[in-house]
Amino acid sequence: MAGKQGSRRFAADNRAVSAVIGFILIFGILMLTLTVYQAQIVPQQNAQTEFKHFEDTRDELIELRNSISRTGQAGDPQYPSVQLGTTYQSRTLTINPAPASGTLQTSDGHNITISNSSSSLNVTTRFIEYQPGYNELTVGSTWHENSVLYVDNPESNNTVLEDQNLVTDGSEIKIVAIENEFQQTGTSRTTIEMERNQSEVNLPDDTEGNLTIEIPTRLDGSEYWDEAFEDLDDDDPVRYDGVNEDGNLILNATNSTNIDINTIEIDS
Amino acid sequence: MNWGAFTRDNRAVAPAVAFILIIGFLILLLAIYQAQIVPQQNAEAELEHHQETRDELRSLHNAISAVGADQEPRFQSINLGTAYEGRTLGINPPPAAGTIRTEQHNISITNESGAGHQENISTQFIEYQPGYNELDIGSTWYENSVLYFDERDRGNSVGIIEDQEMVDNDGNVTVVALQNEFQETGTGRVTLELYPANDLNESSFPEPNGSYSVKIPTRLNGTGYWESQLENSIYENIDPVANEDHDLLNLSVDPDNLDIDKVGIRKEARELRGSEQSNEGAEGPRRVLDGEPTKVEHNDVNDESFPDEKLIIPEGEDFVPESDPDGDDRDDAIEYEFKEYQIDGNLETNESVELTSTDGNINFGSSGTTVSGKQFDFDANGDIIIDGATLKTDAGSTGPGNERMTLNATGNISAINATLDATREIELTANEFVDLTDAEIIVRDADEEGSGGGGQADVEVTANNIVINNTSFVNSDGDEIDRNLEGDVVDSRP
Repeated sequence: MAGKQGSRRFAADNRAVSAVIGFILIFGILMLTLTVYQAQIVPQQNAQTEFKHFEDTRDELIELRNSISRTGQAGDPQYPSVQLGTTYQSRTLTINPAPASGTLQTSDGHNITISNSSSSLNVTTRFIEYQPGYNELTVGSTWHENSVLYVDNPESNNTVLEDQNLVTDGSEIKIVAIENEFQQTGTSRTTIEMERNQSEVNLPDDTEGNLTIEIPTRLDGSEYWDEAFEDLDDDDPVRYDGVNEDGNLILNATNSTNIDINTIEIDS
Repeated sequence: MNWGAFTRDNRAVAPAVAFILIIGFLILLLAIYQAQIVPQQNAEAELEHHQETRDELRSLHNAISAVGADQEPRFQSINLGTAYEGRTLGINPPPAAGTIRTEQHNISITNESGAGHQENISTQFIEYQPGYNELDIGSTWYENSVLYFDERDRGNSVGIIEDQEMVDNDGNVTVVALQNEFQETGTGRVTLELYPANDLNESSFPEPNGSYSVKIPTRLNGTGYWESQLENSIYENIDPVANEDHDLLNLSVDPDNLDIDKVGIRKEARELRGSEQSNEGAEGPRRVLDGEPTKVEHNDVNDESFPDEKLIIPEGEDFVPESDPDGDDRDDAIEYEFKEYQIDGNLETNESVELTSTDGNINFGSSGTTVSGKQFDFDANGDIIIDGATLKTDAGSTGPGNERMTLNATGNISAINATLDATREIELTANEFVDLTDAEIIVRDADEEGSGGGGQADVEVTANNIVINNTSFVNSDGDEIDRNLEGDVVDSRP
């Protein structure tokens, strides 16, 4: 009875609750907008921040590469710095992922081998890898090896940022070996202190013919080295002989005066 | 239409009008933002980049000096361009790219007496040219240890960023000669690798006999810069170079006070071999003769003719073909066919010299280059440029009909301040003009003017316009000689 009366009243009720409906609608629209902002705009803005950091880091890694060359070839201590990661712009209503950290580290040691028919010399060197930990962008590591700086793209060819200066005029191989391990991870700026090792590398006796230099590399011959050394002539004191199956770049030198090898120590 | 009802209608449509007004206002704001604010913000980004680049170029300037002084390599990077901040509503122009490039010039050194050889050393100026979308800023130049903005083509002056370090207070002159061409354009960072070279020694310079006269190319002409920087004891004058945007700064330097350091960009500044230099710059393949005896003949179609390549004899190279052991004189002759020629070194033979360019100029160094042989026959499908050089037929005379000098160009022949010295006849033929301003034309065995009677004159010049200005036509006794000028004779180039 009471229910019949109630339903009759509800059906007969013509009072509006527009304010409540309006509030619910506006609230719904705001929530929807916030969701779209969080799902679409925030990642895009963060990707933009990461890309800016990637460009800045690329410049800093070029400076790092130049510092390695200068320390090794000229003997001047250098102190380049790299901003390992980045933080995103602060937000009031929406949420950011954790700051993007990065890692700068040396690889395992690999041997540079300089040999002639009677003797050989091994010098340990390391590659340097900068591995960004971006939340939005998919970018491969940037590698430094034998004065070449390149981005190792995960799904395409490597992008060379700075070419080799291992052999520049066909008369000399300028090797800079990185001696010790190094690793830094974080979002802050790290300074890399580098100094040339004062003890000289004793090369094999040059009286017994040509020297063969095997230098570890991550790059293929066809990918980089063949083109980098295409200007070398057969009668140059320094010749290029490809990349072998073990991943070693093979160079030949007429005698030890055509080799300038230095080792550097790096630390943070 | 019921106009009466329309005019009586007083119902408001305020929400619609307000909506239209607000939309219009927003669009107006957006237009103002795009037209006014975006360019200003971009100009700000460009100015910031400009200031950073100025600092990086200053570092480059210091690095070049340091490489010259310390003889140790340096690696200096420069950010060529800049991108603008990302925008949600406005639109940016493409990122501003910049260009860094080198421009080759020659430094020459002679001793006071003029005896002995003249040493020519090539050097490079460096220009950084920004490609900003908003700011109109001129190029920044590095030359002879001076770094400056050049705003002269915009009606402004030159702004010195770093003063010269070439001449110190004690009168010591240290010239840093940059080697190798370099050019990069883009928005990213590029490294200039600077390497030292020690290939100059005392024997490279002329015999010390009084002071050295050192001619250094400079673009700071007309600015009064060098006059204000250099002492009178060193500074002589600035010579204009016709049709060039640079002048020659003349210094008088005590041989003990002169030091020249070579600094190579990217590569060592040592002499480069042919194939190494072949891909430098954007001028196509080249072939460098580095002093080895080499013979290239027209009719040899295998691999001795290079109609698509440029022949370079670098400054400082003396190219002297050796006598063939079989005694065949013809084998000693120089017969080259190249696309074009850049001869900055000296070329000497006892036999004839035939140079043919298939599509380009035959260009001799701006000063000091000497070509000597028995007979010259240059045929250019382009221009022949001999400004400041010396061509001399004074060797290996074996009989009549030799010792002539025949230059034929489909374009122009420019022989400003040149010396053309032949034993018998000189014949210059060009399509447009032959410029003999300040040139010395010598036909040693020629009779005096007018005494030759009929027949061919000692000097034959054929062109639409022939520039004769302070030109001497003499024989070995210094007497004026007979010449035949076929064309409009003028005293300046049209």
